[in-house]
Amino acid sequence: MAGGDSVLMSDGGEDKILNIFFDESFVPQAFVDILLFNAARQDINQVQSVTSSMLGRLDYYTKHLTKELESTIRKLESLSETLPGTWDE
Amino acid sequence: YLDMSYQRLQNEVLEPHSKAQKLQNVLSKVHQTSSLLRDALVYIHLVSRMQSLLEEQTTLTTERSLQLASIHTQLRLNMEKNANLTSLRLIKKLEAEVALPNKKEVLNFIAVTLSKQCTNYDKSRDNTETVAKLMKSLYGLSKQEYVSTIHKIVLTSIALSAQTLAKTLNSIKTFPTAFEEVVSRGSIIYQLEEIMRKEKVEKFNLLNEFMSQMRPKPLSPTKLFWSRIASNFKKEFDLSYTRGGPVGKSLSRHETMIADTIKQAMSNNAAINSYLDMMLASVSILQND
Repeated sequence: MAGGDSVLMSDGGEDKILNIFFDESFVPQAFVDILLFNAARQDINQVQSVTSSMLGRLDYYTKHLTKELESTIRKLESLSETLPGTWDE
Repeated sequence: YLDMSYQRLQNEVLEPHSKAQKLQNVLSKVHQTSSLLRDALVYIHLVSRMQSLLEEQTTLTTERSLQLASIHTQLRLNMEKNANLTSLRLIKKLEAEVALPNKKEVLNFIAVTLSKQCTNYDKSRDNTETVAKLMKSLYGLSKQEYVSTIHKIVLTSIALSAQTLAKTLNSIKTFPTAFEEVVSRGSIIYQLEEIMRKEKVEKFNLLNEFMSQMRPKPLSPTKLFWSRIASNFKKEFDLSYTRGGPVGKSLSRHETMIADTIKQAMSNNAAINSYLDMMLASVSILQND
């Protein structure tokens, strides 16, 4: 699994796999194709275990990225409430 | 003052905003990836179950073919759900090397088994449930194969029955027993029709799926059976009668026996009495003279 919470900075931090998703040219289709094709070198059970663990990892990413997105949006929202006041300081 | 506020705008608005957009973009990519991966996992799981079934027992039995057929139906539904699957090399490979070859084999096995079960279908032995399962699983594998198999079963029964009747023309005394045999074959067709009517599929049932494919117009197996038998027998009967000679004379001498045989066998049989007139019409040449 990826490192602790702090690792998930907006650029994916040290998590090499998460990093891939931050790459502009990332295409889900290609990623899955390569993942499955390489896993299939051994046998079909290997493919199933690789796929299941990747799915677990992706769920983990989804959870943390969503949390971070929510906190970022909250910051923007809170700012917009105080906005009129900020310019006078 | 302006720089400070611009700097502040940068830190507190622009940066968080682009970060949020970035995160949203990545989240959607993660989501697309996991949904494709999930569908691929379902496919791979189904194929590996198919392989273990095949390793257990190489020769196909009815029961094993029904199990494999249901896996193939699930594979098809899964494939239809996510068209991207077919672009994955591993899926293409498994489809070509495992799924499709086995599907052909299972399809043929079920079609042959269904035909055998139907041609010597016997209510008392009650293989109704097996016939129903075979029909439904064949339909799930391929609608065309289902329709053409049922069609072949009815046509075979028609051919046998037409031949049985034609043979009686040279010794018309054998007509009653021959006609009884034809009626029992006809009632097998009717019982198959009943099984098809009870099997619910998609919006309707297996009978409707069959009839809707009949050209030029929808036709039930029973109607197809009796209308073909009647028209075929009429052709043969008229031919023998008009040739005259001993055969022609014997036919006209036995006019009442022929008509009574048909009436007795068909009129009180609810399933086929609507085809009584059709059969009587096939021997109607006797009345004109």
